[in-house]
Amino acid sequence: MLQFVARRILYMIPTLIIVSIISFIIIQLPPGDYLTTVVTNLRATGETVDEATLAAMEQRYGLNQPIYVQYWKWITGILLRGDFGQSFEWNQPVSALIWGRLGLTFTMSLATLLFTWAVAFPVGIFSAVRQYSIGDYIATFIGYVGLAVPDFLLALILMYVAFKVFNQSVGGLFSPDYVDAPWSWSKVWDLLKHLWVPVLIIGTGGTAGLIRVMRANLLDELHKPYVVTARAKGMTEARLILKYPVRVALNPFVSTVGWTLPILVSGSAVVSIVLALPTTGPLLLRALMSQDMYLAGSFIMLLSVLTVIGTFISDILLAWLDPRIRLTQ
Amino acid sequence: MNKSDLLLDVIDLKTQFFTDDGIVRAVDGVSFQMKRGETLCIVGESGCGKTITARSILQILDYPGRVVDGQIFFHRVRLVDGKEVRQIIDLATLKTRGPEIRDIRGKDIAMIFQEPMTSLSPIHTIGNQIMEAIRLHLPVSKSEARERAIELLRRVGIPKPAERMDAYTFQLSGGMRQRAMIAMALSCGPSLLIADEPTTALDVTTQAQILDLLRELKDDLGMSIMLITHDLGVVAEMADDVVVMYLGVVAEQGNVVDVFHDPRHPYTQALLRSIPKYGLRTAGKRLDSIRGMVPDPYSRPTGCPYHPRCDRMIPDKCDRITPPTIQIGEDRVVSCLLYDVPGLPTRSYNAPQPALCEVR
Repeated sequence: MLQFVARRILYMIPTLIIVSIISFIIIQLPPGDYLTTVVTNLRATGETVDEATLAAMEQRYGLNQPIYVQYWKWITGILLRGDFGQSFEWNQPVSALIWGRLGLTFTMSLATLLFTWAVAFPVGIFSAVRQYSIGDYIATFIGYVGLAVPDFLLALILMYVAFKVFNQSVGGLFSPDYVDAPWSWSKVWDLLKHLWVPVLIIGTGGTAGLIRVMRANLLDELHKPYVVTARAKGMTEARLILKYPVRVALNPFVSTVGWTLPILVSGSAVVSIVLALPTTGPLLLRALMSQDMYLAGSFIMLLSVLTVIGTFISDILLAWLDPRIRLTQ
Repeated sequence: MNKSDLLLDVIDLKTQFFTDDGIVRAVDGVSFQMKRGETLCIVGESGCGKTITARSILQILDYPGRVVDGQIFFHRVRLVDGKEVRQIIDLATLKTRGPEIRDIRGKDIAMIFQEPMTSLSPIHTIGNQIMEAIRLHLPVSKSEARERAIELLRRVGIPKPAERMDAYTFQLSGGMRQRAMIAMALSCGPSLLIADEPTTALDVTTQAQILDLLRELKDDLGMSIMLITHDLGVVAEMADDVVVMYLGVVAEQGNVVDVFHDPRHPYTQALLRSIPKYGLRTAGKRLDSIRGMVPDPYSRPTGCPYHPRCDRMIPDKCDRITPPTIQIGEDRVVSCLLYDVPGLPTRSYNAPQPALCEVR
């Protein structure tokens, strides 16, 4: 097992290097750079820009250097000093902008993941074991509705209902009193009071999908001979289903953990904009639109790293869960 | 037959599958008896209801299958506080998921299956699965269960049993897997072991070893074996009694010597003719085979189910009349209209005498 983990970690290194290069290339791909955007914006407002200022800015941001030099500066800054570069638009170090939001995003994503699993597991198992029962049909129906309704629509509806019926504002993650307050238990409690809305909205689609996956996986396993063997031993039905087919049906579940991480971080962008959440999604979108190179690059890089780490975690979990993967190399 | 020798008395068992396309009468009125300590072979082509009969006994039919009629009297002998307690239990009336049948499964009646690879969990060690079987029925601690499991693995001829306890199925050969499966079935000392084609998935040498092992265990432990097979060679080697099944009914039952030397039912005769024989003057001749195929389960022939393939079919009789079960000797029955002559007694089944019954 240790050897397995060590090998997986070694595999990650070249992947991460390639990922960082590709992230950097991608953010350079659109024509023009941040200065072009600045100039366009200034011209749109009727101001003129003189060449000297432009050259000075170019010099300051290092935009006149060859691309590989820019990349090298960027990546060594990240690795050696934790310096992700400067955000042009916010005129702040990227790291100062990102970490706070990333922490909140992670809290929200984790809560969503837990919610998704807590609902999808039992409902999926029930749906499979009682296939074609009324409960299964209800779960399936709600699941399909959850899959079909777009998140942002759900967000709007929920906001409307919360406002009209409960007279509660559900935008953001904090009440106005707490936005700039230092962390305290009451601030955490305030966060929890706001968190359930985005968790519910972002979680529905995933929950519905996972219910279907769990149901399908389990249906494949329920009629396998080893289940009959367990039954012939005299086990109770509930115990044998949880011990055998559910364990095997978990495999596809676990192997998708890797994709869940980045999807949770980036996929909630639309909902975050609708609900005005201080998470990473809206920031990334804005950075991409204004060609704020280092900010966007850092985001894409972080998302890619999360994917790689997520895959790593799911590999480890899978190996831990399934001896066939651990022992047959 | 002495009543106390009786282990299993199956009377007019009917098991049906309620599918969307109609009802499949997989077992359609099967009756047979099994004596304590004997090996009974159930033989027949694929799809004739052998496996379903066996699974009906343990009530482990897959959905949408259900025992719809008939009785399965299991004569249970258990030692309670050193005293022998005899009970006759009708397994067919027990709830499929109830505590009564679960108490019997794995303890009094154990089962082994055709595919040891898929019949054992791929993600649990064999030790885990055997210990689980032990601790379900016996009040022992984890370490005692482990001791017992190792002993069982040694008993079924697995080398280095203590190490093999922590092996997974994919780390064992086919023969070793089946031995582990047998060890698991034996873990609570069952009085009946149902073996559903236990050697079909194994190669010939391993097959012989497993059969030897089963025979040896049967003699040592004094249990009975119900062996389901389509291999008449296995029957000849193992059986005391034979039940020949065709399309959900018993075609013929009797002592193995009688059935092999004097088959009465045309189906049994045809089966025996289709075995290649060594040393007889058969060179250049084609091996006999039974013409036609087992019919589609949704379109069962009327009358005798075998009549479309039968060489000795009586027109206007076999296709109309369902043949009764005819007693043609002691412990010997055949279900064929050829033997339906006045004077021969047709067998009637009586429920066990109330005095003997202690049905729960």
